[in-house]
Amino acid sequence: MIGADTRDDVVGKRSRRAFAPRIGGHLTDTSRSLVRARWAYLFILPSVVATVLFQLGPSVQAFAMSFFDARVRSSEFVGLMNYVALTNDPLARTAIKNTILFVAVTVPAIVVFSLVTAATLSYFHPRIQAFFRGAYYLPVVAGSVIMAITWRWIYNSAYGVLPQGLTALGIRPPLFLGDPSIAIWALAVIAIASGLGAPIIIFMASMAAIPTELRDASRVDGCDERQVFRHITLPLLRATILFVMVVATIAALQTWELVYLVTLGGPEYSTYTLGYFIYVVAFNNGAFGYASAAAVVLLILVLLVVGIQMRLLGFRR
Amino acid sequence: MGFTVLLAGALLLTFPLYWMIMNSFQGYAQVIKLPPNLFPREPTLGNWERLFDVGGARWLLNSVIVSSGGLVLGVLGATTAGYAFAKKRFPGRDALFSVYLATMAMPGAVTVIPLFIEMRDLGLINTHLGMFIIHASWPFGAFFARQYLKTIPDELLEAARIDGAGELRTFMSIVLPLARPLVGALSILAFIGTWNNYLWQLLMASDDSMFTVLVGASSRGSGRVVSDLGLTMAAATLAFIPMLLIFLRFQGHFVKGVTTGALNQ
Repeated sequence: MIGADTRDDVVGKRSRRAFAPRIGGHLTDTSRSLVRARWAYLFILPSVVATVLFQLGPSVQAFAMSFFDARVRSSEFVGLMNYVALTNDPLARTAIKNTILFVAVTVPAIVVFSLVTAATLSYFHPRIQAFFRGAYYLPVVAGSVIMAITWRWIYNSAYGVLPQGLTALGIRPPLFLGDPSIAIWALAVIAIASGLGAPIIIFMASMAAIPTELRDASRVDGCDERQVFRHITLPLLRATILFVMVVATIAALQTWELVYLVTLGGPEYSTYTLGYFIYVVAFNNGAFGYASAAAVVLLILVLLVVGIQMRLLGFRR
Repeated sequence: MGFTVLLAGALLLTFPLYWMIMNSFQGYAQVIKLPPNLFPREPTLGNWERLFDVGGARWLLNSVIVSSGGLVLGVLGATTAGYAFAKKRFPGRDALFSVYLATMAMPGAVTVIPLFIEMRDLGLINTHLGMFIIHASWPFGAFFARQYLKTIPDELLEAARIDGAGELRTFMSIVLPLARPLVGALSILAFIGTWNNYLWQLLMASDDSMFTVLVGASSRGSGRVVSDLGLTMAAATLAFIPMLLIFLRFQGHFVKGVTTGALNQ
Protein backbone atom coordinates (compact mmCIF):
# COMPACT_ATOMS: atom_id res chain seq x y z
CA MET A 1 0.00 0.00 0.00
CA ILE A 2 1.22 3.40 -0.87
CA GLY A 3 0.71 4.88 2.56
CA ALA A 4 2.76 2.19 4.28
CA ASP A 5 5.73 2.65 1.96
CA THR A 6 5.85 6.35 2.51
CA ARG A 7 5.69 5.87 6.25
CA ASP A 8 8.62 3.48 6.18
CA ASP A 9 10.72 5.91 4.19
CA VAL A 10 10.02 8.75 6.50
CA VAL A 11 10.34 7.19 9.91
CA GLY A 12 12.11 3.89 9.36
CA LYS A 13 10.83 0.42 9.86
CA ARG A 14 11.62 0.08 13.57
CA SER A 15 9.75 3.14 14.69
CA ARG A 16 6.62 1.81 13.08
CA ARG A 17 6.27 -0.23 16.26
CA ALA A 18 5.65 2.96 18.21
CA PHE A 19 2.66 3.73 16.04
CA ALA A 20 1.32 0.22 16.27
CA PRO A 21 -2.04 -0.20 17.96
CA ARG A 22 -1.75 -0.75 21.72
CA ILE A 23 -2.23 -4.24 23.09
CA GLY A 24 -5.84 -4.83 23.88
CA GLY A 25 -6.93 -1.49 22.53
CA HIS A 26 -10.49 -2.62 22.73
CA LEU A 27 -10.47 -3.33 26.49
CA THR A 28 -11.29 -1.09 29.47
CA ASP A 29 -8.59 0.72 31.43
CA THR A 30 -8.56 -1.70 34.34
CA SER A 31 -8.42 -4.83 32.30
CA ARG A 32 -5.84 -3.26 30.05
CA SER A 33 -3.60 -2.55 33.03
CA LEU A 34 -4.10 -6.12 34.20
CA VAL A 35 -3.16 -7.43 30.78
CA ARG A 36 -0.07 -5.28 30.60
CA ALA A 37 0.67 -6.31 34.15
CA ARG A 38 0.68 -9.97 33.26
CA TRP A 39 4.43 -9.87 32.91
CA ALA A 40 4.74 -8.26 36.31
CA TYR A 41 2.70 -11.11 37.75
CA LEU A 42 4.85 -13.61 35.92
CA PHE A 43 8.02 -12.10 37.32
CA ILE A 44 6.71 -12.04 40.80
CA LEU A 45 5.18 -15.50 40.63
CA PRO A 46 8.12 -17.63 41.86
CA SER A 47 8.65 -15.44 44.89
CA VAL A 48 4.96 -15.21 45.73
CA VAL A 49 4.40 -18.94 45.35
CA ALA A 50 7.35 -19.62 47.63
CA THR A 51 6.20 -17.02 50.14
CA VAL A 52 2.71 -18.50 50.27
CA LEU A 53 4.01 -22.05 50.57
CA PHE A 54 6.74 -21.43 53.10
CA GLN A 55 5.81 -18.31 54.96
CA LEU A 56 2.18 -17.15 54.75
CA GLY A 57 0.59 -20.56 54.55
CA PRO A 58 2.46 -21.94 57.55
CA SER A 59 1.75 -18.79 59.54
CA VAL A 60 -1.97 -19.21 59.03
CA GLN A 61 -1.71 -22.92 59.74
CA ALA A 62 0.15 -22.28 62.97
CA PHE A 63 -2.53 -19.90 64.10
CA ALA A 64 -5.21 -22.44 63.25
CA MET A 65 -3.31 -25.27 64.86
CA SER A 66 -3.15 -23.38 68.11
CA PHE A 67 -6.84 -24.10 68.58
CA PHE A 68 -6.34 -27.83 68.29
CA ASP A 69 -4.61 -30.40 70.44
CA ALA A 70 -2.58 -31.27 67.37
CA ARG A 71 -0.16 -34.11 67.85
CA VAL A 72 1.94 -36.32 65.63
CA ARG A 73 -0.86 -38.69 64.73
CA SER A 74 -3.98 -37.05 65.99
CA SER A 75 -5.69 -33.72 66.20
CA GLU A 76 -8.66 -32.57 68.18
CA PHE A 77 -10.36 -29.20 68.36
CA VAL A 78 -9.96 -27.64 71.78
CA GLY A 79 -10.75 -23.98 71.21
CA LEU A 80 -8.89 -21.75 73.62
CA MET A 81 -7.74 -24.58 75.89
CA ASN A 82 -4.12 -24.35 74.73
CA TYR A 83 -3.97 -20.69 75.65
CA VAL A 84 -5.60 -21.32 79.00
CA ALA A 85 -3.15 -24.13 79.66
CA LEU A 86 -0.29 -21.77 78.88
CA THR A 87 -1.36 -19.33 81.53
CA ASN A 88 -1.45 -22.16 84.06
CA ASP A 89 1.82 -23.71 82.94
CA PRO A 90 4.61 -22.70 85.35
CA LEU A 91 7.25 -23.61 82.81
CA ALA A 92 5.66 -21.35 80.22
CA ARG A 93 5.53 -18.51 82.71
CA THR A 94 9.19 -19.09 83.61
CA ALA A 95 10.09 -19.15 79.94
CA ILE A 96 8.37 -15.84 79.28
CA LYS A 97 9.93 -14.28 82.33
CA ASN A 98 13.41 -15.48 81.37
CA THR A 99 12.96 -14.28 77.81
CA ILE A 100 11.92 -10.79 78.83
CA LEU A 101 14.79 -10.61 81.31
CA PHE A 102 17.21 -11.78 78.66
CA VAL A 103 16.03 -9.17 76.19
CA ALA A 104 16.06 -6.41 78.79
CA VAL A 105 19.72 -7.10 79.49
CA THR A 106 21.19 -8.01 76.12
CA VAL A 107 19.54 -5.48 73.82
CA PRO A 108 20.51 -2.29 75.70
CA ALA A 109 24.00 -3.73 76.16
CA ILE A 110 24.32 -4.41 72.46
CA VAL A 111 23.02 -1.00 71.45
CA VAL A 112 25.16 0.92 73.93
CA PHE A 113 28.38 -1.04 73.40
CA SER A 114 28.13 -1.01 69.63
CA LEU A 115 27.34 2.70 69.58
CA VAL A 116 30.26 3.55 71.84
CA THR A 117 32.59 1.27 69.90
CA ALA A 118 31.56 2.75 66.57
CA ALA A 119 31.96 6.26 67.94
CA THR A 120 35.40 5.50 69.36
CA LEU A 121 36.46 3.87 66.13
CA SER A 122 35.45 6.89 64.09
CA TYR A 123 38.47 8.75 65.40
CA PHE A 124 40.95 6.28 64.07
CA HIS A 125 42.62 5.77 60.73
CA PRO A 126 40.42 3.96 58.16
CA ARG A 127 42.74 0.95 58.10
CA ILE A 128 42.43 0.56 61.84
CA GLN A 129 38.69 1.01 61.59
CA ALA A 130 38.48 -1.76 59.02
CA PHE A 131 40.61 -4.03 61.17
CA PHE A 132 38.47 -3.64 64.26
CA ARG A 133 35.27 -3.75 62.29
CA GLY A 134 36.37 -7.11 60.95
CA ALA A 135 37.43 -8.37 64.37
CA TYR A 136 34.13 -7.48 65.97
CA TYR A 137 32.23 -8.96 63.06
CA LEU A 138 34.04 -12.28 63.19
CA PRO A 139 31.57 -13.85 65.66
CA VAL A 140 28.81 -13.07 63.19
CA VAL A 141 30.79 -14.76 60.44
CA ALA A 142 31.26 -17.80 62.63
CA GLY A 143 27.57 -17.88 63.38
CA SER A 144 25.62 -18.50 66.56
CA VAL A 145 26.14 -22.26 66.47
CA ILE A 146 29.92 -22.00 66.50
CA MET A 147 29.79 -19.25 69.10
CA ALA A 148 27.68 -21.49 71.31
CA ILE A 149 29.94 -24.49 70.82
CA THR A 150 33.14 -22.61 71.60
CA TRP A 151 31.79 -20.60 74.52
CA ARG A 152 30.21 -23.64 76.14
CA TRP A 153 33.68 -25.11 76.44
CA ILE A 154 35.17 -21.86 77.60
CA TYR A 155 32.68 -21.83 80.46
CA ASN A 156 33.17 -25.52 81.20
CA SER A 157 33.96 -25.97 84.87
CA ALA A 158 36.34 -28.84 84.35
CA TYR A 159 38.36 -27.81 81.31
CA GLY A 160 37.25 -24.33 80.42
CA VAL A 161 39.71 -21.53 79.93
CA LEU A 162 37.63 -19.08 81.92
CA PRO A 163 37.42 -21.05 85.19
CA GLN A 164 41.07 -22.06 84.76
CA GLY A 165 42.09 -18.47 84.26
CA LEU A 166 40.20 -17.33 87.32
CA THR A 167 41.71 -20.09 89.42
CA ALA A 168 45.15 -19.09 88.24
CA LEU A 169 44.41 -15.56 89.42
CA GLY A 170 43.44 -16.91 92.82
CA ILE A 171 39.72 -16.31 92.35
CA ARG A 172 37.35 -19.16 93.00
CA PRO A 173 35.39 -19.52 89.77
CA PRO A 174 31.61 -19.85 89.96
CA LEU A 175 29.85 -22.66 88.16
CA PHE A 176 29.02 -20.59 85.11
CA LEU A 177 26.71 -23.05 83.50
CA GLY A 178 25.78 -25.01 86.58
CA ASP A 179 24.61 -22.21 88.84
CA PRO A 180 20.95 -21.30 88.31
CA SER A 181 21.53 -17.70 89.22
CA ILE A 182 24.48 -17.25 86.87
CA ALA A 183 23.79 -19.42 83.85
CA ILE A 184 21.49 -16.95 82.13
CA TRP A 185 24.05 -14.19 82.47
CA ALA A 186 26.66 -16.49 81.00
CA LEU A 187 24.37 -16.92 78.02
CA ALA A 188 23.79 -13.17 77.87
CA VAL A 189 27.52 -12.60 77.50
CA ILE A 190 27.62 -14.92 74.51
CA ALA A 191 24.61 -13.18 72.97
CA ILE A 192 26.12 -9.74 73.44
CA ALA A 193 29.48 -10.81 72.05
CA SER A 194 27.79 -12.27 68.98
CA GLY A 195 25.43 -9.37 68.59
CA LEU A 196 27.87 -6.47 68.45
CA GLY A 197 29.29 -7.00 64.99
CA ALA A 198 26.41 -6.02 62.75
CA PRO A 199 25.29 -2.93 64.75
CA ILE A 200 28.88 -1.70 64.76
CA ILE A 201 28.98 -1.84 60.99
CA ILE A 202 25.62 -0.13 60.74
CA PHE A 203 26.54 2.64 63.15
CA MET A 204 29.88 3.21 61.50
CA ALA A 205 28.18 3.63 58.15
CA SER A 206 25.55 5.95 59.61
CA MET A 207 28.13 8.09 61.35
CA ALA A 208 30.16 8.35 58.19
CA ALA A 209 27.09 9.70 56.45
CA ILE A 210 26.87 12.66 58.80
CA PRO A 211 28.30 15.69 57.02
CA THR A 212 31.53 16.77 58.65
CA GLU A 213 30.51 20.42 58.34
CA LEU A 214 28.06 19.90 61.16
CA ARG A 215 30.69 18.61 63.50
CA ASP A 216 33.25 21.19 62.43
CA ALA A 217 30.78 24.01 62.86
CA SER A 218 29.91 22.98 66.37
CA ARG A 219 33.53 22.55 67.25
CA VAL A 220 34.24 26.06 66.01
CA ASP A 221 31.42 27.17 68.29
CA GLY A 222 33.37 25.72 71.18
CA CYS A 223 31.86 22.28 71.75
CA ASP A 224 34.11 19.49 72.93
CA GLU A 225 33.94 15.98 71.58
CA ARG A 226 31.44 14.71 74.10
CA GLN A 227 29.04 17.56 73.36
CA VAL A 228 29.39 17.05 69.66
CA PHE A 229 28.45 13.44 70.15
CA ARG A 230 25.51 14.15 72.42
CA HIS A 231 23.98 17.02 70.55
CA ILE A 232 24.88 16.42 66.93
CA THR A 233 25.70 12.79 66.27
CA LEU A 234 23.25 11.09 68.57
CA PRO A 235 20.10 12.90 67.45
CA LEU A 236 20.97 12.29 63.83
CA LEU A 237 21.41 8.62 64.59
CA ARG A 238 18.05 8.21 66.23
CA ALA A 239 16.43 6.35 63.37
CA THR A 240 19.38 4.01 63.09
CA ILE A 241 19.42 3.39 66.82
CA LEU A 242 15.76 2.52 66.72
CA PHE A 243 16.33 0.17 63.81
CA VAL A 244 19.19 -1.61 65.57
CA MET A 245 17.16 -1.84 68.75
CA VAL A 246 14.14 -3.33 67.01
CA VAL A 247 16.14 -5.87 65.04
CA ALA A 248 18.16 -6.89 68.10
CA THR A 249 14.97 -7.21 70.15
CA ILE A 250 13.21 -9.39 67.61
CA ALA A 251 16.24 -11.65 67.51
CA ALA A 252 16.68 -11.78 71.28
CA LEU A 253 13.03 -12.61 71.89
CA GLN A 254 13.45 -15.71 69.75
CA THR A 255 16.58 -16.99 71.49
CA TRP A 256 16.68 -20.72 71.00
CA GLU A 257 20.02 -21.87 69.65
CA LEU A 258 22.02 -20.62 72.60
CA VAL A 259 19.84 -22.49 75.05
CA TYR A 260 19.69 -25.68 73.00
CA LEU A 261 23.43 -25.80 72.45
CA VAL A 262 24.76 -24.60 75.79
CA THR A 263 22.42 -25.25 78.69
CA LEU A 264 19.39 -27.17 77.43
CA GLY A 265 17.17 -24.94 79.50
CA GLY A 266 18.86 -25.66 82.78
CA PRO A 267 20.08 -25.53 85.37
CA GLU A 268 16.71 -25.75 87.05
CA TYR A 269 14.95 -24.12 84.08
CA SER A 270 16.78 -20.87 84.69
CA THR A 271 17.70 -20.54 81.04
CA TYR A 272 14.41 -21.70 79.55
CA THR A 273 13.41 -19.15 76.93
CA LEU A 274 10.11 -18.99 75.09
CA GLY A 275 11.79 -20.08 71.89
CA TYR A 276 13.28 -23.09 73.62
CA PHE A 277 9.97 -23.89 75.28
CA ILE A 278 8.27 -23.99 71.88
CA TYR A 279 10.95 -26.30 70.55
CA VAL A 280 10.73 -28.74 73.45
CA VAL A 281 6.95 -28.86 73.42
CA ALA A 282 6.81 -29.36 69.67
CA PHE A 283 9.72 -31.65 68.94
CA ASN A 284 10.38 -33.42 72.22
CA ASN A 285 6.79 -33.79 73.32
CA GLY A 286 5.07 -33.79 69.96
CA ALA A 287 2.38 -31.37 71.09
CA PHE A 288 2.24 -29.29 67.93
CA GLY A 289 -0.97 -27.51 68.85
CA TYR A 290 0.20 -26.42 72.25
CA ALA A 291 3.53 -25.33 70.82
CA SER A 292 1.78 -23.31 68.13
CA ALA A 293 -0.21 -21.52 70.78
CA ALA A 294 3.05 -20.67 72.54
CA ALA A 295 4.43 -19.46 69.21
CA VAL A 296 1.44 -17.18 68.76
CA VAL A 297 2.12 -15.82 72.23
CA LEU A 298 5.71 -15.19 71.13
CA LEU A 299 4.43 -13.32 68.08
CA ILE A 300 2.18 -11.18 70.26
CA LEU A 301 5.13 -10.51 72.55
CA VAL A 302 7.25 -9.42 69.58
CA LEU A 303 4.55 -7.09 68.29
CA LEU A 304 4.00 -5.65 71.75
CA VAL A 305 7.64 -4.98 72.56
CA VAL A 306 8.45 -3.61 69.13
CA GLY A 307 5.32 -1.49 69.21
CA ILE A 308 6.33 -0.02 72.56
CA GLN A 309 9.82 0.71 71.32
CA MET A 310 8.58 2.45 68.22
CA ARG A 311 6.10 4.47 70.24
CA LEU A 312 8.63 5.54 72.84
CA LEU A 313 11.58 6.19 70.59
CA GLY A 314 10.34 6.55 67.10
CA PHE A 315 7.28 7.94 65.51
CA ARG A 316 6.19 10.62 67.85
CA ARG A 317 4.76 12.82 65.20
CA MET B 1 43.00 4.56 76.47
CA GLY B 2 40.05 3.96 74.21
CA PHE B 3 42.30 1.94 72.00
CA THR B 4 43.14 -0.46 74.82
CA VAL B 5 39.49 -1.05 75.54
CA LEU B 6 38.78 -1.58 71.86
CA LEU B 7 41.61 -4.05 71.68
CA ALA B 8 40.45 -5.89 74.79
CA GLY B 9 36.99 -6.20 73.30
CA ALA B 10 38.36 -7.48 70.02
CA LEU B 11 40.46 -10.04 71.85
CA LEU B 12 37.51 -11.18 73.93
CA LEU B 13 35.43 -11.72 70.84
CA THR B 14 38.03 -13.43 68.71
CA PHE B 15 39.72 -15.52 71.36
CA PRO B 16 37.08 -18.31 71.38
CA LEU B 17 37.57 -18.77 67.65
CA TYR B 18 41.32 -18.83 68.01
CA TRP B 19 41.01 -21.33 70.85
CA MET B 20 38.68 -23.48 68.77
CA ILE B 21 41.16 -23.73 65.92
CA MET B 22 44.09 -24.40 68.23
CA ASN B 23 42.29 -27.14 70.09
CA SER B 24 41.35 -28.90 66.91
CA PHE B 25 45.02 -29.72 66.61
CA GLN B 26 45.53 -30.97 70.14
CA GLY B 27 45.11 -34.45 71.50
CA TYR B 28 42.80 -35.08 74.42
CA ALA B 29 45.54 -35.07 77.03
CA GLN B 30 46.79 -31.71 75.88
CA VAL B 31 43.30 -30.31 75.64
CA ILE B 32 42.34 -31.04 79.23
CA LYS B 33 45.75 -30.19 80.56
CA LEU B 34 45.81 -27.61 83.31
CA PRO B 35 46.93 -24.94 82.84
CA PRO B 36 45.77 -24.97 79.21
CA ASN B 37 48.22 -24.38 76.37
CA LEU B 38 47.82 -21.17 74.49
CA PHE B 39 49.45 -22.80 71.52
CA PRO B 40 49.56 -26.52 70.79
CA ARG B 41 52.73 -28.04 72.22
CA GLU B 42 52.21 -31.34 70.47
CA PRO B 43 50.09 -30.60 67.43
CA THR B 44 48.32 -33.61 66.03
CA LEU B 45 45.98 -34.41 63.21
CA GLY B 46 44.20 -37.10 65.17
CA ASN B 47 41.04 -35.09 65.69
CA TRP B 48 40.80 -34.36 62.02
CA GLU B 49 41.26 -38.01 61.13
CA ARG B 50 38.48 -38.95 63.50
CA LEU B 51 36.33 -36.20 62.11
CA PHE B 52 36.55 -37.56 58.60
CA ASP B 53 36.02 -41.07 59.92
CA VAL B 54 32.66 -40.17 61.38
CA GLY B 55 31.61 -38.43 58.18
CA GLY B 56 32.96 -34.88 58.39
CA ALA B 57 33.53 -34.70 54.65
CA ARG B 58 29.97 -35.79 53.97
CA TRP B 59 28.69 -33.18 56.40
CA LEU B 60 30.63 -30.44 54.64
CA LEU B 61 29.33 -31.61 51.28
CA ASN B 62 25.77 -31.54 52.59
CA SER B 63 26.23 -27.99 53.79
CA VAL B 64 27.58 -26.94 50.42
CA ILE B 65 24.78 -28.64 48.49
CA VAL B 66 22.05 -27.23 50.71
CA SER B 67 23.53 -23.74 50.72
CA SER B 68 23.94 -23.77 46.96
CA GLY B 69 20.32 -24.78 46.54
CA GLY B 70 19.26 -22.00 48.86
CA LEU B 71 21.41 -19.58 46.88
CA VAL B 72 19.86 -20.45 43.53
CA LEU B 73 16.26 -20.43 44.70
CA GLY B 74 16.73 -17.38 46.90
CA VAL B 75 18.44 -15.22 44.28
CA LEU B 76 16.01 -16.30 41.56
CA GLY B 77 12.98 -15.36 43.60
CA ALA B 78 14.49 -12.17 44.96
CA THR B 79 15.69 -10.70 41.66
CA THR B 80 12.51 -11.43 39.74
CA ALA B 81 10.30 -10.15 42.52
CA GLY B 82 12.56 -7.15 43.13
CA TYR B 83 12.36 -6.28 39.44
CA ALA B 84 8.60 -6.48 39.47
CA PHE B 85 8.35 -4.32 42.58
CA ALA B 86 10.89 -1.81 41.31
CA LYS B 87 9.99 -1.40 37.67
CA LYS B 88 6.50 -2.67 37.09
CA ARG B 89 3.21 -1.15 37.95
CA PHE B 90 0.45 -3.60 38.77
CA PRO B 91 -2.68 -3.78 40.87
CA GLY B 92 -1.85 -4.84 44.41
CA ARG B 93 1.83 -4.03 44.14
CA ASP B 94 2.15 -1.86 47.24
CA ALA B 95 -0.12 -4.05 49.32
CA LEU B 96 1.89 -7.10 48.38
CA PHE B 97 5.14 -5.34 49.25
CA SER B 98 3.74 -4.44 52.65
CA VAL B 99 2.94 -8.09 53.19
CA TYR B 100 6.53 -8.94 52.33
CA LEU B 101 7.80 -6.40 54.85
CA ALA B 102 5.47 -7.78 57.49
CA THR B 103 6.66 -11.34 57.04
CA MET B 104 10.19 -10.22 57.84
CA ALA B 105 9.12 -9.64 61.42
CA MET B 106 7.40 -12.99 61.79
CA PRO B 107 9.17 -15.19 64.32
CA GLY B 108 10.55 -18.38 62.84
CA ALA B 109 8.99 -20.34 65.67
CA VAL B 110 5.55 -19.68 64.26
CA THR B 111 6.21 -21.10 60.82
CA VAL B 112 8.63 -23.87 61.68
CA ILE B 113 6.09 -26.32 63.09
CA PRO B 114 3.65 -26.28 60.17
CA LEU B 115 6.62 -26.26 57.78
CA PHE B 116 7.97 -29.38 59.42
CA ILE B 117 4.61 -31.09 59.09
CA GLU B 118 4.39 -29.93 55.49
CA MET B 119 7.79 -31.42 54.69
CA ARG B 120 6.88 -34.63 56.44
CA ASP B 121 3.71 -34.95 54.40
CA LEU B 122 5.60 -34.22 51.20
CA GLY B 123 8.16 -36.87 52.04
CA LEU B 124 10.98 -34.33 52.03
CA ILE B 125 12.34 -35.12 55.47
CA ASN B 126 15.98 -36.13 55.37
CA THR B 127 16.49 -34.76 51.85
CA HIS B 128 18.64 -31.95 50.57
CA LEU B 129 15.66 -30.45 48.77
CA GLY B 130 13.70 -30.36 51.98
CA MET B 131 16.52 -28.47 53.63
CA PHE B 132 16.89 -25.70 51.10
CA ILE B 133 13.53 -25.36 49.38
CA ILE B 134 12.14 -23.13 52.10
CA HIS B 135 14.76 -20.53 51.21
CA ALA B 136 12.95 -19.83 47.95
CA SER B 137 10.89 -17.52 50.12
CA TRP B 138 13.16 -14.58 50.94
CA PRO B 139 11.35 -11.30 51.52
CA PHE B 140 14.51 -9.48 52.53
CA GLY B 141 16.07 -10.47 49.22
CA ALA B 142 13.17 -8.98 47.31
CA PHE B 143 13.44 -5.82 49.42
CA PHE B 144 17.16 -5.55 48.79
CA ALA B 145 16.75 -6.21 45.07
CA ARG B 146 13.99 -3.64 44.76
CA GLN B 147 16.20 -0.95 46.31
CA TYR B 148 18.94 -1.68 43.84
CA LEU B 149 16.84 -2.19 40.73
CA LYS B 150 15.01 1.07 41.27
CA THR B 151 18.22 2.81 40.29
CA ILE B 152 18.08 1.46 36.75
CA PRO B 153 16.88 4.32 34.51
CA ASP B 154 13.39 3.80 33.18
CA GLU B 155 14.53 5.27 29.87
CA LEU B 156 16.78 2.29 29.35
CA LEU B 157 13.92 -0.13 29.68
CA GLU B 158 11.66 2.07 27.59
CA ALA B 159 14.26 2.19 24.83
CA ALA B 160 14.47 -1.58 24.87
CA ARG B 161 10.71 -1.85 24.61
CA ILE B 162 10.62 0.51 21.68
CA ASP B 163 13.35 -1.48 20.01
CA GLY B 164 11.05 -4.44 20.18
CA ALA B 165 12.60 -6.39 23.01
CA GLY B 166 10.19 -8.65 24.86
CA GLU B 167 9.90 -8.61 28.64
CA LEU B 168 12.11 -11.63 29.19
CA ARG B 169 14.71 -10.34 26.77
CA THR B 170 14.79 -6.96 28.51
CA PHE B 171 15.25 -8.62 31.87
CA MET B 172 17.99 -10.96 30.78
CA SER B 173 19.95 -8.75 28.40
CA ILE B 174 19.64 -5.36 30.05
CA VAL B 175 18.60 -5.64 33.68
CA LEU B 176 20.64 -8.63 34.78
CA PRO B 177 23.99 -7.46 33.38
CA LEU B 178 23.47 -4.13 35.13
CA ALA B 179 22.51 -5.94 38.30
CA ARG B 180 25.63 -8.02 38.59
CA PRO B 181 26.69 -6.43 41.91
CA LEU B 182 23.20 -7.07 43.22
CA VAL B 183 23.27 -10.71 42.22
CA GLY B 184 26.70 -11.03 43.79
CA ALA B 185 25.60 -9.57 47.10
CA LEU B 186 22.37 -11.57 47.13
CA SER B 187 24.24 -14.77 46.34
CA ILE B 188 26.55 -14.36 49.28
CA LEU B 189 23.76 -13.44 51.67
CA ALA B 190 21.58 -16.33 50.49
CA PHE B 191 24.42 -18.84 50.71
CA ILE B 192 25.36 -17.80 54.22
CA GLY B 193 21.78 -17.54 55.40
CA THR B 194 21.05 -21.05 54.24
CA TRP B 195 24.32 -22.36 55.66
CA ASN B 196 23.50 -20.98 59.11
CA ASN B 197 19.91 -22.21 59.32
CA TYR B 198 20.75 -24.66 62.06
CA LEU B 199 17.29 -25.43 63.39
CA TRP B 200 15.92 -26.44 60.03
CA GLN B 201 18.92 -28.59 59.19
CA LEU B 202 18.59 -30.26 62.55
CA LEU B 203 14.90 -30.96 62.07
CA MET B 204 15.25 -32.22 58.54
CA ALA B 205 18.08 -34.65 59.19
CA SER B 206 17.10 -38.00 60.60
CA ASP B 207 20.36 -39.85 60.10
CA ASP B 208 24.02 -39.01 60.39
CA SER B 209 24.72 -39.05 56.69
CA MET B 210 22.39 -36.11 56.12
CA PHE B 211 23.92 -33.91 58.80
CA THR B 212 25.20 -30.60 57.67
CA VAL B 213 28.53 -29.55 59.08
CA LEU B 214 26.85 -27.35 61.70
CA VAL B 215 24.61 -30.13 62.94
CA GLY B 216 27.54 -32.51 63.09
CA ALA B 217 29.70 -30.04 64.98
CA SER B 218 27.00 -29.35 67.51
CA SER B 219 26.86 -33.06 68.29
CA ARG B 220 23.22 -32.74 69.15
CA GLY B 221 21.97 -34.26 65.97
CA SER B 222 21.95 -37.77 67.25
CA GLY B 223 21.42 -36.99 70.89
CA ARG B 224 24.97 -37.71 71.83
CA VAL B 225 26.79 -35.32 74.08
CA VAL B 226 30.30 -35.17 72.86
CA SER B 227 33.03 -35.29 75.43
CA ASP B 228 35.58 -35.57 72.67
CA LEU B 229 36.54 -31.93 72.76
CA GLY B 230 39.18 -32.19 70.09
CA LEU B 231 36.73 -33.74 67.66
CA THR B 232 34.13 -31.12 68.40
CA MET B 233 36.59 -28.31 67.87
CA ALA B 234 37.77 -29.85 64.61
CA ALA B 235 34.19 -30.10 63.39
CA ALA B 236 33.49 -26.52 64.46
CA THR B 237 36.64 -25.34 62.69
CA LEU B 238 35.55 -27.21 59.59
CA ALA B 239 32.22 -25.39 59.76
CA PHE B 240 33.95 -22.06 60.29
CA ILE B 241 36.57 -22.10 57.54
CA PRO B 242 34.22 -21.72 54.53
CA MET B 243 32.45 -18.80 56.18
CA LEU B 244 35.77 -17.18 57.05
CA LEU B 245 37.01 -17.54 53.49
CA ILE B 246 33.83 -16.07 52.06
CA PHE B 247 34.03 -13.19 54.50
CA LEU B 248 37.65 -12.40 53.71
CA ARG B 249 37.02 -12.51 49.99
CA PHE B 250 33.73 -10.61 49.96
CA GLN B 251 33.98 -8.27 52.93
CA GLY B 252 32.50 -5.44 50.92
CA HIS B 253 29.33 -7.32 50.21
CA PHE B 254 28.85 -8.11 53.87
CA VAL B 255 29.00 -4.47 54.78
CA LYS B 256 26.63 -3.61 51.95
CA GLY B 257 24.17 -6.28 52.94
CA VAL B 258 24.15 -5.26 56.56
CA THR B 259 23.79 -1.54 55.92
CA THR B 260 21.16 -1.64 53.18
CA GLY B 261 18.30 -2.51 55.44
CA ALA B 262 19.44 -0.08 58.11
CA LEU B 263 20.20 3.04 56.16
CA ASN B 264 17.03 3.14 54.15
CA GLN B 265 14.68 3.52 57.06
